[in-house]
Amino acid sequence: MRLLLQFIAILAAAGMLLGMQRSTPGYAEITGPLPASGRPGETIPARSFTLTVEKLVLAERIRYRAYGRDFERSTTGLWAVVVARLEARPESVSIGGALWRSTAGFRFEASQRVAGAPRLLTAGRIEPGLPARGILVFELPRDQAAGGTLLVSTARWPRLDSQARVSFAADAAESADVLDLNGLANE
Amino acid sequence: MSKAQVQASARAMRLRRFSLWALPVALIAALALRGRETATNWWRASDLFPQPVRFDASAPLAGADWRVVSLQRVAERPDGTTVALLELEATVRDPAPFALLPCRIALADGTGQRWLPTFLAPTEVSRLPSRRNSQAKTCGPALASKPEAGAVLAIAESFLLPRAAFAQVDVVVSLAGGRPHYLRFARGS
Repeated sequence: MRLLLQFIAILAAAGMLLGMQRSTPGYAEITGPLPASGRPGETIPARSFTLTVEKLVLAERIRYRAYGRDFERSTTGLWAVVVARLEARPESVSIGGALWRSTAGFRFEASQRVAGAPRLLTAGRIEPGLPARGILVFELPRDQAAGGTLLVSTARWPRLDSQARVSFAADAAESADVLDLNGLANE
Repeated sequence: MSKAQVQASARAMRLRRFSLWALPVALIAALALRGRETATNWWRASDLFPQPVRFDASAPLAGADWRVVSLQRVAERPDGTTVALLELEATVRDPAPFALLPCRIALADGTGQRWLPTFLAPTEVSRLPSRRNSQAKTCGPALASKPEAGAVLAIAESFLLPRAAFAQVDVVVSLAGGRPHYLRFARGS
């Protein structure tokens, strides 16, 4: 009887160890970004900034003025333009990471095709006490735009640092044929 | 049970008890050994101990004597932003610790907010006649120039901060050769 009990105890311990081994997250997950999640309209506090998303606009084309010239950019997909407000705390920060994660799990970095557009939140520094209202612009395939999540962090690949995550409902976006970024950022 | 068996059993019990007590000691020792390098790096990279200095006084840090020459309001923007220019003077005493990078210069208020240096547009710099022909460098390039002992360096940094905060901010100077200690030139003193 005692032998049987010992055998059961060893089996139980082995099972527990196997369970612990299987359920232990990997190194990348343990040291990955620390999510601070919310919805549009909510103020999401991250470690070194707060983020409030005002709205999301999906457009066929975008128009803006930069370097003394007017630009109009088209795309085979859609332009996703997020209007948001950022506040640094307690220290000056730059936004190094802005990603769009689609419901299928694909990640899209903020577009480089709109360099020079007004009030790009990824372009400048955010100072404490001086909240910045601006835009984040993504170029997405049409089937990846609905119901995505915006990921914002100070580092491009945050490790053990906050990442603000804003989930959009599938019908949360406004739509436009041609979107004027100058008007959107300054409205 | 024979006397020899009793003695063997007692010895085994003592050994097990010793092993049990040794386990936490061994764990702590292993953690200390594994984390020593990380802890040392954190200690050398952190600003932990402020050394308060009068705003018009000079103080030694990382092989140099530091002095605030001026902290000026260069411009006001319509959105309530103040553009500020900080000028420092460093007299090098020991070049080796002085040349260690990175250096951190900031403006800090009493609530823990810190403003880091930013790029100042040439149009805003030229508003100050004294800056038009200035040879002052920002902190990083000044340290990287590896000055010799006795050299006097002019260092300038620019900042963007709220108008209301400008009058209350202190100047914080932190160098790799001086951390975890750093200088805090207090406006109020």
